[in-house]
Amino acid sequence: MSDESYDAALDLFRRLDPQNISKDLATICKIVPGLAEDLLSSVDQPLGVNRCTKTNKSYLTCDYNRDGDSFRSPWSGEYEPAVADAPMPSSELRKLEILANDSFDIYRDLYYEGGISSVYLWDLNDGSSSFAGVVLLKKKSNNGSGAWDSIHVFEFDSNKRNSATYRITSTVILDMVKESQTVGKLNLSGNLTRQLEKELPVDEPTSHISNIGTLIEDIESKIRNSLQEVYFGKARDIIGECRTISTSSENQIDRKLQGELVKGIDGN
Amino acid sequence: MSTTAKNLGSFIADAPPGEINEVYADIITLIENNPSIVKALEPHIEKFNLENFTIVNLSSDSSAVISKYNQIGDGEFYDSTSGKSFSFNHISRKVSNVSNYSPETSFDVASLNVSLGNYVLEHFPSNSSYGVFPQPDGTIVLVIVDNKFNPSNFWNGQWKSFYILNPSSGEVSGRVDLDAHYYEDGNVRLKSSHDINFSISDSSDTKSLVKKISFEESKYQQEVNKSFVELNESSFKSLRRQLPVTRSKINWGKSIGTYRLGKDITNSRA
Repeated sequence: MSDESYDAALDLFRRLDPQNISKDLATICKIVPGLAEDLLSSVDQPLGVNRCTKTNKSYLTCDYNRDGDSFRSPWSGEYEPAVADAPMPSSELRKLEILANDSFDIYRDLYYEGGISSVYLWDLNDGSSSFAGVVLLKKKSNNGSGAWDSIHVFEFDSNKRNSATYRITSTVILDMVKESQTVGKLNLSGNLTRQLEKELPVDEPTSHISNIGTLIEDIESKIRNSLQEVYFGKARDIIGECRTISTSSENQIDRKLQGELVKGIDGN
Repeated sequence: MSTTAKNLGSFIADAPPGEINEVYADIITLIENNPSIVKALEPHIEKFNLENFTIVNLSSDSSAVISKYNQIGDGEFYDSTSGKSFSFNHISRKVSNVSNYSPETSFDVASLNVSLGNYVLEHFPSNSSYGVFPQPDGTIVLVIVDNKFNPSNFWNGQWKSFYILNPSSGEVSGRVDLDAHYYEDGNVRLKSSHDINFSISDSSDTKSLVKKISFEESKYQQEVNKSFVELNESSFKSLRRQLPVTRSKINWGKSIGTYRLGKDITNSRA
């Protein structure tokens, strides 16, 4: 594996049809097995859904709560099927993880009015007391015309006594489809990624959950605006650059009239 | 080896308009320029060029499309506007051997070519091309393509359409394909395709034929624009709200559980 091939693979993922991302990822991992580990942790795919056998609640699966073929449920904290010696958060961190899952479950309810959320935290074994984590949200529209997957990976530095600097990388995968007699088949699919770094005050360990909640709430709102602009505005504009509904002669007349109007106003 | 080329071939087929060079270069890097895979990818590149109506320049003021409808031999094509045939190398995308050529047909290709050219001039403002190509089975194929590539602003787009006219029955069947790609801090793709079928009473009335195509394509474009509005206002809104029903941001912290309490109260009232 080389940096060159890794960069080439990442470049492909910003170009190839986002609908085929999981299939394309499998293809590249097969052709260049040395890239598999890095690509699986850096290329965001639509999240999987499992049901926690202990609590009967649904949870989300991704590379961060996976060990071999097992996934850890955020509700029970256990891997299913059970794995010996799988990575687990310390009991202190598990308490925060439970609070984070409860908090984001409420966030999910308020913003998504449905869907599934999961938060996974892990200790950073670098001597500090800090941790990192991922916040996941998934929602499908009832009629199957839309699917939303949010993936927020965060870490922080708590070098100062009363504050921490958070770094969050957020990706939202959004797929929309419309099929009808008049429009044929229309697919709008893809993802947008944003990064944010911000320092916020910390009084006690639970402050981290409130801080991360506040930041993610803010980022998701911003990404939502960007998605709306790109999916429904930009896409329309790009097609409008390729074909105009009005004719170029009409457009020329319009421009001329506009010019005269401006001249008239200026003249007054 | 053959599955590798086949899987990578689907990458080529997936390449957004105007980005085939970048996709191909990435693939070559991944396979470390393995000559047998490179060779096996050639047919996929050829297919991409044919299906995307690749535009080539024959001279400074005349362009032509590459498609299966104007292919007259292995790597040999012709253009209905300039009346030229030419060789085309699918890999280097270079044109050579430009010479005079006109296909044998009793259909008035020239007249339809003029009507179609006027339509393209009026509605396709970017890098566009078109052609009218009589087929061995007697049908006449019209091809339109417009590319707008803007890689410095991370987006590229393409409108392409083709129509097959049966001159004896007046039946026309065709399809429009839209492809738009936006890739600044992300990867967003619009793909839409729509079949268009109609019939005309007089196949030699080329103006009416093109007028009908213009009408159908404008209708479709308006429907697509309407779909953006509908998807935005219904599906997108149902996925994630802009703000909670309370219209204010969440009060994070240990008392966040009160939201649940509040909801239970509203639920029990309802």
